[in-house]
Amino acid sequence: MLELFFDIWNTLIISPMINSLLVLYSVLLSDFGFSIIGFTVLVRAVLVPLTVKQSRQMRAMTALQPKLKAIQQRYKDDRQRISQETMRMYREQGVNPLGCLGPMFIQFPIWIGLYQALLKTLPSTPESMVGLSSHLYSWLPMVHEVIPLDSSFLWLDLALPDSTPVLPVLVGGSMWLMQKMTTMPAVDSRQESTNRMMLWMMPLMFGFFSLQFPSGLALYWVVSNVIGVVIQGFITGWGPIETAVMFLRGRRPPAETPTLEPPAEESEPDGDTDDRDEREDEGRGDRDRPKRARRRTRRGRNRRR
Amino acid sequence: MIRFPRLSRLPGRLGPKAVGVVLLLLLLTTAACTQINNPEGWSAGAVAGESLYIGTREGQVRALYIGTPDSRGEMTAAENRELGETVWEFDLRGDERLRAVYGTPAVSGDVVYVGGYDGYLYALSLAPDPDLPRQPKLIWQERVGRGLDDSVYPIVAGPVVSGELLLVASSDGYLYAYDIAEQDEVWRFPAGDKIWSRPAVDGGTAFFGSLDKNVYAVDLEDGSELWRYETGGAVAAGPTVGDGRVYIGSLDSVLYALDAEDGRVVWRFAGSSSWYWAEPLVVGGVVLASSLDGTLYALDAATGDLLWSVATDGPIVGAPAVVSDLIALPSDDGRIRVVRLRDGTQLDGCNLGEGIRTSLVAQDEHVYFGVRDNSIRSVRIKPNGNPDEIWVHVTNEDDPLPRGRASAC
Repeated sequence: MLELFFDIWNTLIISPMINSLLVLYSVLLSDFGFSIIGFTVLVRAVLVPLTVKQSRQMRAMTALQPKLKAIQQRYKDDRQRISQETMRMYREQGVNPLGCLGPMFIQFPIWIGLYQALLKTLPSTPESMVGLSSHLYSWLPMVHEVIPLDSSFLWLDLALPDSTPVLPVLVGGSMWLMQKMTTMPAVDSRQESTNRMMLWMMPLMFGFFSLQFPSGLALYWVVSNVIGVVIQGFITGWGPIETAVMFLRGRRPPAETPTLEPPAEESEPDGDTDDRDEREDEGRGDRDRPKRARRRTRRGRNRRR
Repeated sequence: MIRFPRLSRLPGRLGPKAVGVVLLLLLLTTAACTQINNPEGWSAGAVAGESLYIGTREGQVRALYIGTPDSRGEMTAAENRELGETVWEFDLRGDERLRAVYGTPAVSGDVVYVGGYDGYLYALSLAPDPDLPRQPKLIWQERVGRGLDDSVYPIVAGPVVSGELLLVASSDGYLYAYDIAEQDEVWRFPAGDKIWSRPAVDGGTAFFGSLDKNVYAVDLEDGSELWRYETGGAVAAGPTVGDGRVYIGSLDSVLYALDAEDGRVVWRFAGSSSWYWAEPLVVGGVVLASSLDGTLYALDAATGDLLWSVATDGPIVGAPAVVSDLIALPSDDGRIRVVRLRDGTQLDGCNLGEGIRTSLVAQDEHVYFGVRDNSIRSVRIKPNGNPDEIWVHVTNEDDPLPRGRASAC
């Protein structure tokens, strides 16, 4: 069973990655650093639809924050009701709270695959060299001709961890920016502390990984994060980065508010308001909601009429 | 009592899917961790007298008793010694993580020379040290590689003795010539990249390949370059010289026949779909070239025309051995196949279960080789092509000669 899994894994992930890296190496001046950067750009390009979807989900989630707060206030003594109402709101608005994790989950196999592909593409032992031959496409002569690769790039040996703190710091910094851009505003203090922990944990964790893993993988992380931040910035705005820049300049940033959030009703909702009223309220400023969700709400209204 | 939330109550519609993703990630992490390689070695053996000298996967060199020519086929004790019994064993002394032997040891006089992946050249006595039972006498140990830094430059190819010179190819990109008597460097020749190819010596010239894609001919007198030929890929295989030609395979999947005088291409064979790792054999006008595509190609030595081929189910890393008119062919699919030299007909075979990456060494009717299950084996090739396992020496167990072990063939 495990053997079958390895076969599928190697055929679908590792071999295409290795051959792609080698073709890019052949095309991009026989420089493995450029090859990894080109590969990262390709991967991110393939993931653009998913990233855009993630960003839109995040924007929709951001727009829902005031309503979530209102639900929590309204049913603060009934946790089960809060959960039900929250789920109902997500469903009605066509929002998937885990949708934001899609690109990250998809990138996990890419990270693991790239880690293995780097080790296999830069073989250090005769065993790994012989193993590499089984991954190369025989119909692609150029990938055979470039072996063995030159693994040096700038000051790095891409097969080994960076011996200086530069790359780990770059990984940590870019990961922090990425986290900052993709973290949703907190609904309550618990989520806020979780957000704060993630904001620092992820960069520290990946910075630490960079000390252990081949620097080629760390290079992938840096480039991937930078591209991710740029995409996120164009879709949801540069607010978090501006906040961070202001903070670095020593100026107090404005209170964190959702960047694209419509004017929120912060007033305490009336406890007697029934569900129907709430649904009608939702129907007003719904331009930021996905079309599918708007259609569903309209259909509901028509049915009621 | 601990209560676990039901999957349907997990936030979002992806609850059960998220669990699936986590399981997948665990599986992937397992895959990632289990595919990390360490040097293990695939040393071929060297036969001298009544012993086989061979590197093990535990980073040792062992001398095993193989009997007198008369007693080699017997499974019974000869001279109060078991066949396959350890005469001595020697632990490599370099970095523990790099203790492995890939090249074939070289025997000259009463000394065996071994190149270690730990970057050291070892010269060991053939006989055990009288003061240290089951250990050889370490005559000479030399750290090979550029001496300007602390880096280790592994030795992958086996050393070669030529008269008073010992040739050692290093991963630092140099071919070193040492004076055996003086234990001193005579000259060094720089290639453009690592040298994993075992040199072949013919008429005062050493021929070898390098991962810089070139095949070199170097004058043994002073280490000067006579010629070089650039192939389409790195050259990890050793050459074989015969009839004024140098036969060598490359990672561009082409086997070249070069003129030994000037390096001119006489013919090239591009029928393989993968790399050549082992040196070719030249027998009676036939070049036997084994490829990592799992095929043994028999070519006309004069023209390079394909005579016949035999396919296996795994890459062929080591060279086959010829026993009279039969070929014993190793493969990483775990089988030894016996093939008729004349026409490539497969006569018989033997499934050992684990891959064979070492080159086979033949003596009389016997072939000796290491297997990836940490064993060293002796198989007799009968004239009818039937292989018969004579002994198995297990290197990673206390008792290296498991009694009553079922014979694989």
